[in-house]
Amino acid sequence: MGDVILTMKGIDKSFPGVHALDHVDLEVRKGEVHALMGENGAGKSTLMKVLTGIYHKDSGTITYEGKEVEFSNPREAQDAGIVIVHQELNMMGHLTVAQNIFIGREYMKGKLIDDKRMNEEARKLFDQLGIDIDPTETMSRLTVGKQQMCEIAKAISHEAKVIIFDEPSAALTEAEIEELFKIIRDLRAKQMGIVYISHRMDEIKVITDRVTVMRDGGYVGTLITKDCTKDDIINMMVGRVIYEDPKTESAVSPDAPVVLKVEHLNAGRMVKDVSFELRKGEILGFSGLMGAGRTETARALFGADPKQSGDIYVNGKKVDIKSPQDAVKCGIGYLSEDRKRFGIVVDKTVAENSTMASLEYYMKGLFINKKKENEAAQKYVDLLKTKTPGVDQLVVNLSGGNQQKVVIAKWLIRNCDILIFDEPTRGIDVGAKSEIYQLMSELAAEGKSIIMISSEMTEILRMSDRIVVMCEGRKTGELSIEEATQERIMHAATLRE
Amino acid sequence: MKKKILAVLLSTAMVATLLAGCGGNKADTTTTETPDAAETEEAAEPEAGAEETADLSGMSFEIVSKGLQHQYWQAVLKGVESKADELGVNVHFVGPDSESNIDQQVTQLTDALNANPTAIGLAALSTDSVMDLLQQAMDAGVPIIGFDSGVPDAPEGSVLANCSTDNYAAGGIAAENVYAAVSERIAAADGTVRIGVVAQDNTSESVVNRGLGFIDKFAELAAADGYGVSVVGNDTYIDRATCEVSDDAKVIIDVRVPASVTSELSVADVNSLLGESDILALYGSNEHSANAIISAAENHSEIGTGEDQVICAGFDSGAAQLEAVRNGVLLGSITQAPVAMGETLVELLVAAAQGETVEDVDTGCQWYTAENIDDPEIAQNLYE
Amino acid sequence: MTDKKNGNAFTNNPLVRAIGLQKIVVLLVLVVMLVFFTSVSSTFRQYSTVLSIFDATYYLAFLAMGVTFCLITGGVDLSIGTGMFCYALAGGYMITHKDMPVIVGILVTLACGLIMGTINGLIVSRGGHAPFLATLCTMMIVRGLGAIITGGASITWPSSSSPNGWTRLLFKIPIGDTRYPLGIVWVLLVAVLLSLFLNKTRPGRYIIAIGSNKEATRLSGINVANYQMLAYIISGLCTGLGALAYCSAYQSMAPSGGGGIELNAIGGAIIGGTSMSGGSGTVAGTIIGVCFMSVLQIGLPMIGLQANYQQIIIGIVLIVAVYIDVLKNKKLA
Repeated sequence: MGDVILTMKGIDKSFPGVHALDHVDLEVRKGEVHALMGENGAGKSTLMKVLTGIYHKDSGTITYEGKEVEFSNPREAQDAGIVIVHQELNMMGHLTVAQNIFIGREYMKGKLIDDKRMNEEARKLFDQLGIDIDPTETMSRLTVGKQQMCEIAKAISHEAKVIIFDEPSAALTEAEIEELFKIIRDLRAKQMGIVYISHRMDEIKVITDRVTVMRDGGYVGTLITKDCTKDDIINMMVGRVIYEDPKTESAVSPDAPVVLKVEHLNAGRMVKDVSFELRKGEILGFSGLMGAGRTETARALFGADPKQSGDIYVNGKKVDIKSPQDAVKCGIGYLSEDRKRFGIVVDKTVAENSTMASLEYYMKGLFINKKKENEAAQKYVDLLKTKTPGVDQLVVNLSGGNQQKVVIAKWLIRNCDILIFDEPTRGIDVGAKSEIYQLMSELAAEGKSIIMISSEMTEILRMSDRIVVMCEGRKTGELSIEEATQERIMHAATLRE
Repeated sequence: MKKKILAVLLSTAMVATLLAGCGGNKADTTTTETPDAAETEEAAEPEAGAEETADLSGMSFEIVSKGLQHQYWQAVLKGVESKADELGVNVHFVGPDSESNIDQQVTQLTDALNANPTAIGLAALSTDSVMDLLQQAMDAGVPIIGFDSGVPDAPEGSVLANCSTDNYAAGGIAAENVYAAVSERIAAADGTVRIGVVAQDNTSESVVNRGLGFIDKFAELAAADGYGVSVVGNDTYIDRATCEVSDDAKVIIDVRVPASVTSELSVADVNSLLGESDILALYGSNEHSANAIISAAENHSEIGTGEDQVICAGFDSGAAQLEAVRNGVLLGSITQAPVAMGETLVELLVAAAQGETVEDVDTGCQWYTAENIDDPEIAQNLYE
Repeated sequence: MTDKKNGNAFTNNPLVRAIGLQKIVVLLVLVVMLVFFTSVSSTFRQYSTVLSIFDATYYLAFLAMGVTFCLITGGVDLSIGTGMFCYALAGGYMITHKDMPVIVGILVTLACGLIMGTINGLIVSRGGHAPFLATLCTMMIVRGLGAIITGGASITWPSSSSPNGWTRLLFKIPIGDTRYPLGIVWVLLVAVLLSLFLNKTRPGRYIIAIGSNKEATRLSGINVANYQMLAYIISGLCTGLGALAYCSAYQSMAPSGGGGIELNAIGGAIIGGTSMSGGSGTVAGTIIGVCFMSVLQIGLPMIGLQANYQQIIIGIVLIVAVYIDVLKNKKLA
């Protein structure tokens, strides 16, 4: 490890209603791989966005190569030598590899682009990195791993001194990860400063020199990787005080009937051989880090995405769910994590949204029976204590919590006994949160069964009767609420194959 | 936001420049201001004296034509405007964007009725689609005068009179002239001979009648000389032709109609006809079809008036056609009297509005060739 | 049936990949079509038919080359068909009604194309309108403008025999008794220039990049709006060229005409391998696709097919072309 090349000190950043970064420190040296770790929403990405000028910090200092800097856009940071290799690749699939690498700064021969020279330069870069990629190949024909190599080559061609890898291994195969590590070690040997963002605990141990851990927008601490254990890091990541009382025991008796049984579900890359059971009146928490495959599991179960294999039993009977219509017929309702896109129609009224999934009950011949529709909507407005001036109010005018209640009403009107809540309290303020929690508990007590996907540890521990933990598409743990702790959940959530 | 406003301003400025640069013509052809109600009432008071001094300024007429795009309609408009100026009446002249735009014409006729005019002039694209409106006009007591192709098969009493070219007769005149030019070659031919009819469509009565007039007359003349005749091609024309057809025909009349009224499709029809080995003559039954023949002539040296060339005849005028007649690309063409038609129309409208009995007027047509194209009697009806 | 291995060897052949599989297939089908029409119809064999096909190809080629640029950015320009008529009417009006020299008419025609192209570009790139909607609106605007300019009358550009008719001769030059399709030279010249522009200059490269991944292009520090606008300016200018080609081939132009021609042009581009979803397309492919369209349009009537059936066949051909495009995109995803 060489001299310090980059120091971020006391970085503070607030968005309306959120204190995203609370005096965070980060120090990167030449020739080190520095891991940046933390749970979902801990503020890692925000910190990197502040560094590269996408966001502007409220206070704190950034010192780069001995000088205080503040970049106003990614381009400036890039020109100074700080480059991000994004998780979602920023490439133009129709252009060739070399054309992608040199986009915006093409080599010219007079008025025309010198593609030959660009191919040569790209080849030199790849030679330097020891990668075998044809610069004249069309980008979209490469594997994801190769595409990532191109991104790295592009970063290096900018004469980068600091390279930030944002979850680079998420979409790579084992062999590709090996190759990536080889390149990263090379770059380290060339005295570059490398920031490595990842959830994969074992990778951190293999490739990084130091670890900085963040939690809830704050700085927790920095460790020398080889001097610490995986559990040390997990403890730092989750070591928060749980303010709300966690549930201490399950409210469901062990002999309650199984209403939903999923066996060996496989769907796409993100759902691998997932099996679990859901009992009547139970709240089953789904925990895991971002990209663990929880939403994908729910969508496959709900028939929103195609599944490759796996059996689903509802109330002991095997069902064939091919589409959301099938799922709804089986009494399954899905409350999407992205309400605006999948949950509600914002410019329709509360009544219209409430009966959206069960309009056939509210028809009078060819026409919608407005009176019946309003009555039903009003009933659930009262029942769920939705705060709205009336059922003819447009949903767009309601708060996030009340919008969520309208979605719940939609599925209750449809008589769904199994409800999948995907991040039920995302974007909902604290007061409304506890109301939603209370509502969920009441629903469970009435005999509805609930799957709750949540990235918030406190939410999982407070609401669940049982917890399924997923990592990279597989179920890596199942804990009863009695045995569940933050550490155990995080342990399972980082349990790679 | 600022940029968006700038974009809007810039677009507006550019459109304005375009208008200023190329325009100067007004889209609306209202000739005089619509008078207010008070004036109308005054005008209704009959003044002592002869008809000539009668104040007609309270009268307003709505004229719905079949289009404005062909120069033919512009010539009708010219006649309408000059007569309207002369008599001091108000005329509002409209027409659909194209002759296949039946919907648009119905809308225009509805608007015309709603404008509560003294009388309406109408050249219907389709009688069926204006049937209800005709009834409505009758109920409202608004007299309708047909012009050009008029309103064929209109219910009794709805259209008081028509001023039009007898299209069937006009087609016949073209047939007579073409037959005279090719009769010797028909006699000399060993096998069959083919006469091509290039028609714009098979829905407009005027276009169809010009075709039928040509077909029936040509067949009649051929039969008189002892030749058998058959009609092939478009079914509408085959069904409606009244001429005698025989099985072992020497003269084949071949009618082509494009899928839509576009130059390239009509030119393709002409090309296709010229490809027939026995082709002897072509007849384009309106300005569009005649222009298609002229376009094709650029590629086909066999079109012309010389010996062994394919004899071609057109209909109406327009810059291209006049030149083609002068240069001998076309043998000749039929001109209607659009200016006179426009004038007659206004006269009939005024007469009908005053409650006089009106009768159909044939506004006539003429066959013109390179020789007589500059005769004043003909030249007044030709337009560029 | 070809052995699957051979098929792969064929598609992986560097020459095949350089030209593009779709272009080769379309070219082959085009040749088959030509052979078929030639054998069935004696008319089709005539030199005059060749001239007719060229007449119907020139203007469509210019339009299609222009709209290819819009398609590559992931947009579309629907105003080109009616625009072509409008610009030709404006130019022709200057000659026939204002007694201006022909060159003024030509310049006015091209300028109108340039201006409308710029307006389209501004609305799409700066106004943020969906290209489909924006150009649908300008299509209506140019339709109205065309009628206003000429007062609703149709316009005839000077005929080839008149002293002012040299614009026609530019596309079809008479040497002795024969006329030669000189227009090929201009179409190919423009095609080569545009192809060079698309593949070998920065603006061309960025136009492809925008269609491939607009956000990534923006993040590469490229002014996306400027290059998006440029595509529409090129389309407008090409429409102006198309207008000149159209009035050199056909007699007169009526205001409000030209609707539907844009679909033939877009169809030609798509048959030639330009993707509706942006990012890929070549000028050469578009030329091939346009030839395909015009041979079909001229050839079908000659084998005695009634006009309505011709439209059905052309529609089916386009469905197949778009379906191939969909398949290609699926493979990319």
